[in-house]
This record gives sequence, structure tokens and C-alpha cells, in this order.
Amino acid sequence: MNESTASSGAAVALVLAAALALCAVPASAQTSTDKYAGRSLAEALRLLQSHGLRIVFTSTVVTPELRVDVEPRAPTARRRLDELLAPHGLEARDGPGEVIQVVRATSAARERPRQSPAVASGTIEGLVVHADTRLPLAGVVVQVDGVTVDSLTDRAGRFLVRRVPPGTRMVRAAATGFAVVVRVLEVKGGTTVTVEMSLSPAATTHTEYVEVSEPRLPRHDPGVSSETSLDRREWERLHGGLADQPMRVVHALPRVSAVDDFQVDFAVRGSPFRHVEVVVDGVSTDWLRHTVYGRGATGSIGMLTGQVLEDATLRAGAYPHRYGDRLGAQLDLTLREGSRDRFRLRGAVGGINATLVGEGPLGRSARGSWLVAGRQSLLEWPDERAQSTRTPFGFSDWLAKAVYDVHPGQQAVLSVLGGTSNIDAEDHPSPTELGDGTNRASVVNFAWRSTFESAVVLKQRIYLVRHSYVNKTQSGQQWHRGGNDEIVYRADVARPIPHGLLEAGAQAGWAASRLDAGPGDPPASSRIPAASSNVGFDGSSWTRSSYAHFAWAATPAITLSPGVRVTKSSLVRNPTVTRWILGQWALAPGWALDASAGLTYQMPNLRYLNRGAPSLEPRPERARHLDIAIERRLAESVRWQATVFTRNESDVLRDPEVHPRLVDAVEVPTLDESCCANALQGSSRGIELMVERRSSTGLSGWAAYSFGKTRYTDASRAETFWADFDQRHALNLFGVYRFSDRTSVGATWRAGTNFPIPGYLEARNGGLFVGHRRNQVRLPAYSRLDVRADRTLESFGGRVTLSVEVLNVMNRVNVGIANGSVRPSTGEAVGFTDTLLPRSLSAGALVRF
Amino acid sequence: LASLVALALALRPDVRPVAPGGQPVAVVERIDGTPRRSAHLKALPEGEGRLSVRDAIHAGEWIATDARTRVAVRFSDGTSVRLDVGSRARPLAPGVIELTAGAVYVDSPGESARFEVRTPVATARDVGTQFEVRLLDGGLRLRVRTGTVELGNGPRSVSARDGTEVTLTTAGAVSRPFAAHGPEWDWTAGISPPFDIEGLSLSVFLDRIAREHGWALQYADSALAREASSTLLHGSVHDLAPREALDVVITTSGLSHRLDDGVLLVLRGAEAR
Repeated sequence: MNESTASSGAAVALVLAAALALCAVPASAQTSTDKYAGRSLAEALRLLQSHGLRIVFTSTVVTPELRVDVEPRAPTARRRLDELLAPHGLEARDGPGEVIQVVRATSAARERPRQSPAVASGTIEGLVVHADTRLPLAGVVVQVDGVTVDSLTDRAGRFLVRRVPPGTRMVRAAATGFAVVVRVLEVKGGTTVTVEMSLSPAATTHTEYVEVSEPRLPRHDPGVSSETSLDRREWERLHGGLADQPMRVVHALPRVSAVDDFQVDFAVRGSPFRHVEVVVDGVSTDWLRHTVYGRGATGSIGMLTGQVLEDATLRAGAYPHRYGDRLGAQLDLTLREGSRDRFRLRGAVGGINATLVGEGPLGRSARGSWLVAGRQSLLEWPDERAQSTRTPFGFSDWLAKAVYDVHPGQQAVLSVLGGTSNIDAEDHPSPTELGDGTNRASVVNFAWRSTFESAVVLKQRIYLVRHSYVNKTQSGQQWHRGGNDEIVYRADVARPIPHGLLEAGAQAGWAASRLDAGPGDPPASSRIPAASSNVGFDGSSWTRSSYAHFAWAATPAITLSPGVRVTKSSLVRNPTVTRWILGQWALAPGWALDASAGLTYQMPNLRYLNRGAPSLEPRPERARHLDIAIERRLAESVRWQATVFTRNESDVLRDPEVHPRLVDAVEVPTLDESCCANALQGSSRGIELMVERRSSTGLSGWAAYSFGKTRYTDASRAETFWADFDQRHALNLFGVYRFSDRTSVGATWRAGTNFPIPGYLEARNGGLFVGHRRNQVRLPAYSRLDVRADRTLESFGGRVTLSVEVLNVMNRVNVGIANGSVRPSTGEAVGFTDTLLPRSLSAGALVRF
Repeated sequence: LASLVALALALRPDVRPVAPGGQPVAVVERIDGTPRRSAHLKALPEGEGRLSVRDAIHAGEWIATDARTRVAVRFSDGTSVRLDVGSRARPLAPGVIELTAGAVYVDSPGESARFEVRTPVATARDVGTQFEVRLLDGGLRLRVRTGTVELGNGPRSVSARDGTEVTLTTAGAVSRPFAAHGPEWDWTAGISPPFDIEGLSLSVFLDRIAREHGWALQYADSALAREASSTLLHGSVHDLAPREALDVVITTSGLSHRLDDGVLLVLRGAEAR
């Protein structure tokens, strides 16, 4: 370093020192000379800000009228700030990034009057509607902060939340497929606040395509008073471990009569199962069940595992007939889609079967999903423990379903569903008895959904149903061979319009049915009913139909939904016009009145036509429905409903009489050839009461009681009798209590008076004999209590749910209808009843990864 | 002090940017890391072309961020554009930016003209919206927070509304709902332009912070909303993250807030639970 460099460095140092001194002197001088007294507090704070304090304050806390009266004495700016704030009940609080926040002092806050802890709570009641259509939305989850139990909107879109702590509350309404809506309400103790919330479909038209793997709201039709829906979670709690029997869930629903433990069939309001429409993923079919066809009273089980069901809705009375024409109720099942999130695997082992379900995303960016499920019986059904006379069978079924978003607004769905049931009864000594048999059914269902302009949805579907069965005798001869085929194309379109939703659709289908009675027909003494075995037929038919349904929110409280369906079938001469009108009136907060009326038709199926006398021209069966229901929501998730219904039926097909009857003390033994005439006029009337609590926590379930009378008159034979499925009193109770998200216990109790034993029987001398009047003898009252406990554990990276179930806990001896016979010599009827399921213990495990 | 400043300026190293190729169209508002710029796509030698806050960005000038860097720039029409880590983009003209790597987030005022993000895969155009465009391996992902964005790819175009994510690949476009709030958007808030609150009303501040996070803003009652519009803020939260700034402002206003599923609920202080 030379001298000049050293002198330059010294000069720079001097300049720096001088600059530092110049900077320092004014700061201390300002601090010491600033006067705060007499200024407004805000000005004083700004002065301190200029001294480098990062003070943040607002005009609501540091109000303009606050002034500094006493000059602060503290030596530092930070402590002077404290002195300035203290007289005004304010304080400085350190914040992030050296920010100093001016807030009200904690001590001052303590001095504010406290709210009494005993203050009364308030109530929030409200209505949730579709923002576009103004139609009420049912099943919307409503949450209120400060209230631990969520509420669901009822069928009228209404909700009620009690015991809301007073104060500002945030009400949140959420439903899959809709944008979340939040409202802020001021709730005062002892008062009720009313709110209406409109839910808009989620942001894009594509929403429904990508959220289908999520639990969805079951379809709800305003005004269908007799409608019950179950989502996947409820379904899983109910479907049972013994046989993974999905229909067992339906058996426990309100207004359902099911008094045969071994059968999937059920009756609704006295209507036989053949009047009930079963719809699976938009496919209306009768053949998805494992059973033994041509065997009369036998066992059956649904051709679906409960692990693949998304939701189910049972509708009775008058309802929109979108899928087909039926006289009675409709069971609408939706199969779930695979996960778009990741690969998942679940396996379940229950009392008599094992199920494996795999699912996962499909394609890049999870544009679709796949799901494959298989179920295999481990034991036969009915279980041999039951010691039933029903023919046992083994079964397996499977489902493959793929969903793919081909393009935004365009989605393709392909599903293949099927199953096989096998009979192996080779141990019977008689060569003419049933030896073995096979029953197969499959459904191939391809659907394409298009969305236009964010609102119009067009769904096109083509499906093929194939069903076949063959039964052989012990000697190996063919006894029965039959089947049914169906192919249908259908298109449905839905379009929101102001204050309503317009739906329309059309379909065309071809169906064929055949039965080949082989040379191995059993003799007349066989317990196999002759009427169902020895008449062969082969036929086909075309059906075309279209429908329109308009749901209209006439006012915020009243919804009217008229509709019509026109069907032309090659089986009958004239087209049928099914029509319905549904009304719903939200009378008052928590109250709703539903009324529905309709005229429905059902075409005679091919089997009935082929049995009929050639001279008879078949007509469609028809029924007039009227339902009136009143519903009251009692609490957040509790409601009761009372329904009165009446149904008048005409031209109902009469089943062939299998057994003889007495006419003027003479036994008339043969099959009645007039079986297929539209001979019956009937009526069904009753009342239904239901109390329901749906909640994701604590107790959930329902108690339903039904009283009904269903009676038929055959004018051609001048006789009137109770319907085969007439049940006067029915009690369906279901409850599950969730102790935690891992532990729950549940119970189902179904009880009631029982159905008549079909036929001309009378009870004498402790036995059954051929009689004069039909359906005079009833089965004894039915009662069955099932209990179940579930416990979920987490291990090996998955979840294991262990379940223990006891069926028929009371070990009551219930009796069902069997294939009886009449002894010609004495007229005694034997074997007409069969004992049902005894107490049975079942354990199962469900493993999910 | 003046002499010190003069000295510092005299001793300041030359950090002049690479010569811009066109008119200034944007200015750097905030940086996190060391973003760089260059007149040419591949001419970004190490240590050169560092961007600083308030630097002007010229049309045709490339901006690049590395794995730890983000940058926010504001266009002359008021549109805020933020580059995520690992991004490369350049403004082509006022209201047009080209993205060749990474992701940009666009927050344009409602009154602005259509803002375009051009990519090798497709072009996204909006009117008054907030959206993110991210280039993927062989595709592009668009997330729309508010408004509507049109994604054009040759003769085909896909329109995406708020709350939508569209993934565009050679196989086509897939759309699904996407929340306007959530951790996926955090990076955009992290590089948001600083809030200048001095003299600002509380309601304007809350509107801005809610927009920044994709929240819906709700007040406990209409009276509180009126009070918020008349409450004035004083001080500075300049270097605070948006959520920190929110906490400070809410606290100093004697209020409280709650976040629930994308809803920012502003309550009176006594109602905080």
C-alpha cells in the first residue's frame, strides 16, 4: 500500500464517520424534542413510525377522538409507545416480521360484560333449493359451526338445527355435484332464524363426470311421498355378513313386506314381486338373481354383492316411470364406479361367500376408472343349518365396470354384470327328482353421456340381457330349459328451465322368452308344481315407449311434477298411457305435505301370454294410485312421516291355480285354464308410519309400521279373496349405534302378521285341508331380530373390519311357504309350510387396501 | 447521508441487464430468489442478467427462474403475472406472454383486455380472471380460479370456467373440478405483490387478500361490512406473507376471522371462539 492510497482510505473513513454522525444526531434530537401531548393518538403513532417502529394500527382501535394528555417519559420509542397506549386501554403487541400491532388491552377485554353461560340457544331452520330449477334438494348436508351434529335436508329440502349457541353462526350446505354455499346468520337465544340457500351445480358441466366415484345424492323426486333412499355407508351397515345379501337391506326398508328368509323377493303394499320394477344402473330387468327356476317356492339371492352398490332408492305409489311400466314399486339401484384416486383392493369373507373387489384409475390424468368384483359362494344357499326343504344351490357372480371421460362433456360407461347358480342335488333317491341345474344371467350395458351448454344432459344407453337355465332330473334327463333375452336402446335428456327441470326419454326394445319342457317331466305325485313345469312356450315381443316429466317449483313452497309415459307393445292392441302427478307443499318450517296420484300399466309378459287360452286377448294390467303423506322434521336429523295410500287395480292377471279346491263339496282337481285372463280387480289401502334418524354419528336408523289390506275380486268366478301378499301389520325396525368411527353395533327387527297360504285351504282338526275359499289360512306371525357388531382395525397398511352377526337372535320358529301337495284320498294338504332360518351365528371380515 | 449514497452509487457494480429487445411491457414487483433475464432463450450464462424489483421487462425478453426462484411482474394493464420455480417465459406484447417451461399464474383485473398465455401446446385466453398454466411432459395443465379461460389448440378450443382444471394432452382434454383455494395455490400467494396498506380501507384489503387466496369473503353481518369499509389501516406489512398480513390487520382492527372450506369469515373480536 503506498502513501496516496493510505491517505485516500483515511479520507473515505472520515467521510463515512461524518455521514454516520450526521445520521445519528438528528434521530436522537428528534426523539428528545418531539412533543406528544396534545396530539391525537394516531398522530403520535405516526410520529413513532417515523422513528422506525413498524407500528400497524387501524381507525377502529385508534379512534380519532383519542388524544395524548400526558407526555411520555420513557427513554426508548418502544416504551414510549406503551405509555401512549395504556391510558386508552390499548397495548402494543409484537407481530410477525417485527411488526408492532396496536390492539385493545387484554385487561380491557376482560372488563367487557361476559355472556352468560346459561343463555338460551337458538334454532336455525331453512330450505335448500337448486339454484337453477328452484326445486328442493334432499339429502344436502347442513353444518352449523358450534353444533356438533350435521343435518340433512328432508324430501322437501328443509332442515332444522336446534340448540344453536347464540352469536354469529356460519351455515354451510354441501352436496356432491354442487358448489358449497355458506351463509352467516346472527342467532339469538330463544329465537328461530330462517334461511334459504340455493345450490348451484359445481363449476363446470364436467363435474358430474369426475365426481361419480364419490358418494352421491340418491335421486329424489319431489312429491314421491313413499320414497326411501340408502347411500353406500348405510348399505354396508345393513347388508349383512351371512350371505352378503344386498336385498336384505331392502327387506328392512319401510313399507316392505318380506317374510321369507330364503328369498330375495319382497312385496310392497300387497303387490307381488312381479309388479316391482328392479332397475340396476338404468337397466330394468327381472333376471339378476340366483335361484332355481321352475321349482315353485325356493330360495333365491340377489346376483350382486353389496360391495359394489352405491345407493338404492325404493319408490312406491305414484312416481315418475322413466324406465318402464310397472304396476307397483320401483327399486332403483346404482352400481358404484371405481376409484379415480388410486388402486384399491378389498376382500370380504362372510358366512357363506367370499368377495373380492379391485378398482383404480383408468388412463392418464385419471380420466376414468375401472372396477372388477367377484363373489363366490363357500356354502350353499339356503345354508344346510336351516334344514329347509328348499333346493340348495351354489353361486358366483361378477361385475366389471369401466368409466372413461372421452372428452370434456362426453363420458362412456361400460359394465358387464352376470352370475351363475348351480344345483347339485344328486343324493335324492328318486330318479325323477331334480338332480342338477344351472341358472345364468348376464347384462352388458353401454352408456354414453353428453353434456351441452353446461346444462343439457343427454344419456344414451344400449343394453343386452341374457338369461338361461336348465334343470335335470336325478337320472340326467332334461326337465326344464328356458331363458329370456332382451336388447334395449334408450335415450334420456334432462334440461333445467326456469323454476323447473324437464326430462324426456324414449326407448325401443325387443324381448324373447322360451321354456322347453323336456321328456323328463316328473310325475304328478312329485312335489314340483305341475303348472310351472309342463307348459312350454317360445315367443318374442317389441316394445316402444317414451316419457316426459316436468318438475316445476310453482312457488318456493310448492312443487308440482306431472309426467306421462306412452308405451306400445306388440303384445297388446292399444298403447298404454301411464301418467302421474306429484305435489309437495312445504306447509311450515319443518312440515311438508306430499300428495301423488297416478295411473300405471304393466304389460303381460310372454310367459303369461303363452299359457293363456288362445281365444283370450290379453290386456295390460292397470292401477290407480293415490298417496298423501305428511312429514315433520323434529330435530336436526329426525323426522316422522305418516302416509295414507290407496290403490285400485284392474285387469290383473291371475296366477294359475296349482292345487284343487272344493266346489259344492266336490274336489275340483285340475289346473285352471283361465289363469291368464285379466280376471282380477283389486284394491289396497293402508297407512304407514315412520320415524327416522339419519346421522353419521350416534344412533341412526328407522322404525316403520304399516297397516294395509289388499283384496282381489274375480268376477268371472264370483269370488273375493285376500291377496297372496296381503300383510296387515308390518313392523320394520333398524338401528345402528356408532360408538366411534371404528366401532358400531346394529340391530334389525322385522315382525308382522303374515301372508295367506295361496290356495283353497282351510284349517280343520289341527291340519290343512282343501277348502272352498281362497287364501283363508295365513302363515303364523313372523318375527326376526338380527344383531351385528363391527370393529375396524388398522394394520398392514390397510383396514380390517371384523363383524359378528347373530341372525334370528330369539331363535323364533318362523314359517314360510313351501311346495305342498294334496292327498287325493283325504283332501289333506301337506308340506305347504317350511321352517325358516333358525338362530345363526356368522362372522365376517372385510379387508381394504 | 447524501455523500454516503453518492459513494455507494459510485462504487456499485455494473448490473445493467441484457439489452432488451422491445418496448417495456411489465415491471418486476417481487422476487424470491434470483430470477434472470436474457434477450435469447438459451443465452443465460451463470451470474448474468439478474432481475431486481422495479426492473422493466421488455417485449421479447426471456425471464427464467431456477428451482428456488419465483418472480412476480405486473403488466401495464394491471395484470399480475407470477412465474413458478423452474419456469421460462417472455412477454411478447402487452397482454401476451409466452411460456416454454414451468408455470405462470395470471391475475388480471376484470376490466382488462384478454390476456394470453401462449405455450407450445395451446394458448390460454382470459377475460378478468385468475388462472395457472403449467407445462407438463407432453401436455399442459390449466387451473382456473375465477372467470373463464379459453384454451385454444389449433382449430379446437376448450372453455374452462372457474373452479376447473383442464389437462390438455395429445389424447385430448380432461376436465375436472378444482378448488379455487388450497395448498396448490400457495406458491402464487407466496410471490404476490406486496400489500401497501397505508390509508387503505379494511374492506379493500380483505378483498385483495381473499382474491389472492381464492377465498370467498363474508362478514358476520352487514354492519360489520360497513364498518370494514370505513376502517382505515395505517402502517406497513410490506414484507409479510399474505396470511401474516391478514393476521396483523385483523388483530389491529379488533376483529377475528375464521377460515372454513375456502370461506374467510370476518367476525367481531368477541365472537372469536
